[in-house]
Amino acid sequence: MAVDLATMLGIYVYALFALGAYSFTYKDNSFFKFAEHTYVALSIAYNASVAYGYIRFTAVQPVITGKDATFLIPLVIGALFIFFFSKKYFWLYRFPIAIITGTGMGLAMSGTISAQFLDQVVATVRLPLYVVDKVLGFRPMDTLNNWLIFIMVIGTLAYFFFSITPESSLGAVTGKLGLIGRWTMMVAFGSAFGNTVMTRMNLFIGVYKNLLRDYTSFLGLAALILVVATLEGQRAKKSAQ
Amino acid sequence: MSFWKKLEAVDARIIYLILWIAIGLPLLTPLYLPLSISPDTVNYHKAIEALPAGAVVAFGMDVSPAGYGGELGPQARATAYHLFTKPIKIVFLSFWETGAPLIQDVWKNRYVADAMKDKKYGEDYVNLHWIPGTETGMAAFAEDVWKTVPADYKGTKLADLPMMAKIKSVNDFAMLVCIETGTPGGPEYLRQWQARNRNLKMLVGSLGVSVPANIAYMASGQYISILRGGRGATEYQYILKIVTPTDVQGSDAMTMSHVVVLVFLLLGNLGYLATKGQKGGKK
Amino acid sequence: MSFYKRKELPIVITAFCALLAISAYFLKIPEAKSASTTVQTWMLVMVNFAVVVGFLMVIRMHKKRIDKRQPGDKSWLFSVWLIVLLIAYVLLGIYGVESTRTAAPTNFWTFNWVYTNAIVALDSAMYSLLAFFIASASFRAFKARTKEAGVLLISGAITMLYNAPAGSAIFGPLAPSFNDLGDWILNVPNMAGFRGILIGAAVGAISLGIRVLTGRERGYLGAGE
Repeated sequence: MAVDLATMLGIYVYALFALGAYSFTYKDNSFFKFAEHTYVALSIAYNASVAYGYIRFTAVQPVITGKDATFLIPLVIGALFIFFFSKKYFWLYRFPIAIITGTGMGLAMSGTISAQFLDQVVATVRLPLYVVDKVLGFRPMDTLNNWLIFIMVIGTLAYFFFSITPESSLGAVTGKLGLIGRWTMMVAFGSAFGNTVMTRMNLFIGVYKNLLRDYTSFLGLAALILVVATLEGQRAKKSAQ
Repeated sequence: MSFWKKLEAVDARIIYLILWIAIGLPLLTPLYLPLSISPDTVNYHKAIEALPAGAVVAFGMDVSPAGYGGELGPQARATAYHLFTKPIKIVFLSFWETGAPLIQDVWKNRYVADAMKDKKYGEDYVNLHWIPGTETGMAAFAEDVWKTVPADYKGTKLADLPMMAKIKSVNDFAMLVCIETGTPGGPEYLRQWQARNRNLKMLVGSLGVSVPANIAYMASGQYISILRGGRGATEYQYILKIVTPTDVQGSDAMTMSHVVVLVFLLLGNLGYLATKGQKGGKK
Repeated sequence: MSFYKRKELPIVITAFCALLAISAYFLKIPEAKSASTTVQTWMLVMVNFAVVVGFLMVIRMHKKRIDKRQPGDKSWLFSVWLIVLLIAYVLLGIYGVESTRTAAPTNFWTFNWVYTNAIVALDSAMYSLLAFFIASASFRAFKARTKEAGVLLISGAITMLYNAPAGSAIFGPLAPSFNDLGDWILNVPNMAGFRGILIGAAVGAISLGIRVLTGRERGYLGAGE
């Protein structure tokens, strides 16, 4: 019985917050503000709670039990974050930031060189520009596609690297390549738009499916929110007049 | 006012209401519209099928609640189900604090729970929960698993989990399946895991919005394959024969939503072309 | 100003940490690798303290709103609700961690219930609001005013037809052509465009890293000397 009550209450709470958020599409109202403030509060509180749990058992516990006292160093340096709020001791806040930025930057740069730069360049350069299948023979569409990819990648890079067209005969070449790059990116962004529509609609469909678990909560709360929002809107109009 | 100008001036809330109705109808009564399976989903399935017995697979549940509720939840559940049907070892983890609790939600799915029946926690699968630090956390984990993660989600020390005895770094993993919302996600795994273990096979389940960029990684061979958003999830469920009426309804609703957006695009542009001449050719 | 209070010392620390990570990555020196892994493990503890800054900033911001409240304006009540809920949920999380003796507060049933029914609902709903705005923008804003915009729209429309699982059902005999065209757009021009963007972004990231290493980029250290 307790589990059923918790599940039913959960369905109503879910519907309240989801419909409260969607009520913004009707008009700005108290339910939306309530949902918005609840979202901010719970998100930050959740992050703070998991952070506490991690620090407590990964760093504090080994220091207290004596298993690894070296964790005292990150605990002390991490605590320096609090000086963000001090004008006099703000300089202390820079030390943990420096360590985090330096380490993160070093790791990201190292990995970027191979994973994002070299591998992509090698994949482009290694594209076979004359595709022959052992069984089917010459493959004209695959060959054409590889040529197109090769030219389009160079065109896109030319668009970014030569965004100021140099005043020389080279300028004509880079300008044309940049134009190819621009059209390539228009097609790419169109594809990105189409995929974005799919993602956003699926996000909405996911919530809609959950709302339909119980029609009473869905329709009841929706009606309540619409009425309250309409009344608030009318009151705001009257006070403005 | 002409018809097109009246149409252009329609209240946005009418558009929102049309969307509610168009998506709501298939959610109430499934239309069972046919679905074709893309080669990428077939390759994703084949890659998991080809895993040898005893292989260690990392399952990165790097999702936000919104992503999980939309496209990534079905992907995660289908992938977890498929992995649990294989004689392999799975290490669940997350570099998103919001993704870690959803690992247990995946386990609650009836197909996944059924596939997990004969599996033993600690011997066949573990949940290492959340690892902070985003990319730095990934690098630390890749270098030294035991130093980075002292215990699992229940506080059990790694020494008390038999399967973790042979898992010390990223070199001990045969495959990484990453269900990603954004950053940190696939590219970060590439930079910190695959760059250290060039034999690490990567499969990525991504949001539709990430598919265009992920295609480039797939074309270069860095990813073996990807699941393309909500459509990829439904295709995968069909291949695994675990698709439910709710999934079919979701798929139909996705079709209706796309049809609605396309109709709006068409009407909007027809209106623009019709009124362009009336404005004297001004843009 | 004393040397240790100026920005030069943190910049040296940044450079040292970055070079340690880079040398451990490329040079395979066991001592550097060990030191780098230790620093990375410490960093995982340090980054969690940053949440405290965000926590206190939000409280400070909403306390200001409460202090500046005007008669007749009830919006300050939402700020009170926010602060109360923020502190209550954190306390619940801390209680959950201590009572379950695990690092994950979601092992505590009540904390997990709030996560599953409130945070998931709010996160999903807030992000999916964009679905409505995309639909509205498709009708009002996405007009093919130029040739480039036209190409973008056509590419988007073909991709949507390709993604809509029943695009093939809607177009009957034309369906395979739409599938092939959608596939081609994704694997050829889209892939080429995003590959160029990835390579360009990689070069940008490396140059930003060098700027940070050499102290030319100091924004991350905040204002002041």
